[in-house]
Amino acid sequence: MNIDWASLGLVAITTVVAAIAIVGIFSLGVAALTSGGEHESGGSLVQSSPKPIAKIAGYLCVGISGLLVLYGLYLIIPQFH
Amino acid sequence: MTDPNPMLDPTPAAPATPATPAGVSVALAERAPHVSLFRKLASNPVGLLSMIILALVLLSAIFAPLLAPADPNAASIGDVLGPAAPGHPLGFDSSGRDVLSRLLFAGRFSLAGALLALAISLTVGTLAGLFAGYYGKWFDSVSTWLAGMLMALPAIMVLLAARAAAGPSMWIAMAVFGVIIAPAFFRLTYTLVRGVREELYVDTARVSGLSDGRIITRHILTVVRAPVIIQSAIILGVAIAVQAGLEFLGLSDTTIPTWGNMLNDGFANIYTNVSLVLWPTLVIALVCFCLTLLANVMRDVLERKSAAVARPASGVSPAWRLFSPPHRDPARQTAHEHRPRKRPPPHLPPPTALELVAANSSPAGSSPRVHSKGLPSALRRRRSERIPGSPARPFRLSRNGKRLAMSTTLFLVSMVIITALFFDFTNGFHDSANAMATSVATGALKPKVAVLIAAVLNVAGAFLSTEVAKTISGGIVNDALVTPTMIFAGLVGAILWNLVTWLLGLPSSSSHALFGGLIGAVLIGAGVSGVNFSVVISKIVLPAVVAPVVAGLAAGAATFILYVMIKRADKEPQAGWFRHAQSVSASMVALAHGTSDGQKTMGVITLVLITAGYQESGTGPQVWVIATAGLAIGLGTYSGGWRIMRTMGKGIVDVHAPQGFAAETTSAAAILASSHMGFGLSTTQVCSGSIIGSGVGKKLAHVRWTTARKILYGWLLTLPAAALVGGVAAAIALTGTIGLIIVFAALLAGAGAIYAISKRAPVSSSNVNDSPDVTINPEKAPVSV
Repeated sequence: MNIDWASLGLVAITTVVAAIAIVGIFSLGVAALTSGGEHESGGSLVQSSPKPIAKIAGYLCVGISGLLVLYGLYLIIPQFH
Repeated sequence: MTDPNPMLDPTPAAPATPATPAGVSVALAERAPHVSLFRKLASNPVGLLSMIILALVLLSAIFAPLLAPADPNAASIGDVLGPAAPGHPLGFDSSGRDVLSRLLFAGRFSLAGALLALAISLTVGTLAGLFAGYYGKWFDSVSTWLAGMLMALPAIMVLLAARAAAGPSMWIAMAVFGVIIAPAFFRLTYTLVRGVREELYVDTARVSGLSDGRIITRHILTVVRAPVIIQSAIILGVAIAVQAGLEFLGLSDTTIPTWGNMLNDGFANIYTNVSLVLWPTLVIALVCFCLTLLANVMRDVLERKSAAVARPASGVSPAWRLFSPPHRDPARQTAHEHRPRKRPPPHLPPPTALELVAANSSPAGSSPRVHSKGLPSALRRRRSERIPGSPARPFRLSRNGKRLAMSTTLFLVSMVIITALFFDFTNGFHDSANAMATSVATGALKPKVAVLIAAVLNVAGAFLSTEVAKTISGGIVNDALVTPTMIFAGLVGAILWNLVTWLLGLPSSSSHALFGGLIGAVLIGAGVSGVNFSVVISKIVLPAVVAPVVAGLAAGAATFILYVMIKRADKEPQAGWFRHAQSVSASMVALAHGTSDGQKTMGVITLVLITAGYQESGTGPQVWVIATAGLAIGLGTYSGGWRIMRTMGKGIVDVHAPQGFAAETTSAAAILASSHMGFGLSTTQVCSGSIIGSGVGKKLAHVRWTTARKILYGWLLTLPAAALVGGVAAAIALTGTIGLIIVFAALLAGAGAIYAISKRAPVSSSNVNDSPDVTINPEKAPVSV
């Protein structure tokens, strides 16, 4: 029997690393973008906007996720390579 | 008509050809027993069936006055659009006339109209073709020009103009159509006559002083006969269809009962009574279908005989030129003087396909001696070749032999293609859940929108993928031993298993079902050696274990980290972000799925077309194959597979947006990694694994392990169950054409039964999220959870 353990391992590791990385980066972005917290004003909860630096970092993370999506498209569509 | 093999028949040729080699007396003794065309057609199941149906239609039209229960024109105001009543089994139409009687009488008018068109086109076309081909000169150029002009005219426009000029008469319309279609016969006859006119025996007949009329009737017409008969059957079908089309549009005489008029009337009342459209449609379709099939079988039978006439050196019989442009064989022209030596003595019986193939493959093998020597074995072979139930046989014939078995091959190939597309459809709705279940469950996308996106991306993926599977099975079975019948049986097994798992709401891998079906079919058809069991382990069993574990681990870790970073990820506004992200990842999964799974069916169809000789080896899928396969998977995806979607979205884990995002992202990553790093993982198993993982990764989330276990059992059973069905299907289908039809009927019956059972407790886009369980019987179904 000829089992390609090397590529099996590679696929497994890539999957785990990629999943954690992408989910992590995007979650970091979401965390940063929603880091303002809530405060009561006029009887309702209002989301206050995050600090500018957090906002920039958040959009950066979301942007990286977007680029990863584009890379995924590049991998999926054979015409690109 | 009884003897379409005139050039071999020495009787008429003997007095005209004094130069014939001295084998004529032997020839009379050795002549193959004469079997009538009718008997030959009747021995072919397709031919027999279509002849029986056509005869029934014809007889019922002729004896309509005796058979019809009522006057076809007797209207009764009380019965307008009435249902079936005693003595009126098909009900009443919009004027209260008996449908059955009209159907019977309509046969008279419709068939007579079509026959009129045929008679005119046959007379005009064949006569013109004979004269143009035989005499040539100015008549040749004028008639060819006229035929070209007629062919350039759009038929329907001319018919509309004729109606405007001459009024709405079915007879005039059919007569005009007969003239328009005449070039079909003209070109056929012309080409054949031109080919024969140069023949030596025609020259001899002319030199020996025979009149033109005698030469034409004795030597030329007999060559033209067979192809013209075939063409007639085709033209008759076309005429019926065109006539019905005109009448359906209401452009013909509406006072007489015809099938097209009934169609027109039924269509106007389609919302009140569907069956009014059904009956004429059924009859028209049946007649056209039978005529086409009959033409096919006739070509098969007649050309097998006229293949005998083929000069073995060129291997092209006159009748074979029917569908190829007229061409002159330069070698034959230059070899004119040597022809008496090159032509086989006329006493030889028709060479078989194998002989023709042999003669073509060896340059020196065309001497008459080879043929007479190879005769007994060739005859034996021919008999064995015609054993019904060896549909695989034609596929082994070489390119030249392929047409001889055309109708069986064509039938088999059509069956495989239809079944493959059906499989593609089930594949689509089975896997639509993979991409979209979590998005539907979390409300990121509305159910209908989700499946629409998935369907569009699947179709786009099918068109994008350029790489087609070079082997059907990827080495799991020995592809050299796989015949189209086995593929057919394997597909049947895969479809039935897909439908059963769908009924139970279990996600199962469509590729594994296909492999399973193929394995079963190959085990039956080619024995144990046909299946490569070590590849089964390394490509199916191991990945089936690995895929959910890897995906589960990755999704679990990702979900865990996500909830560590964002404690309140389930709440707004964070959840909103994850819903959007989830839609994007889900779309990626759908697109990746389209590029890989749509291509699977394309590969199957293309390989079948190549083995059957309909496509050059080494070429990619044809555009229509890509389009239909993409469409089938798209339609399947759009139809939703809501039962599976419920299980995957609600049944395993009650998924929230962040989990859905983590799960879909993991699935996309796993699918891309596996397709680019050479270790194939099943999409279904990856997606199921990620969903379980996303449940495990979230603290205190509830994973319904009972459902997970059921899914696991489903996976374990996929291969053996599909193999079992595929094996049984192969055992029946390999017995012959009848077996093939039985299997196909069983497939349709099984699919219909499963669909009917699913209706007891339907799951649709409206209730997909209402309950975590898919049940079969409604009494067990919880109302909502």
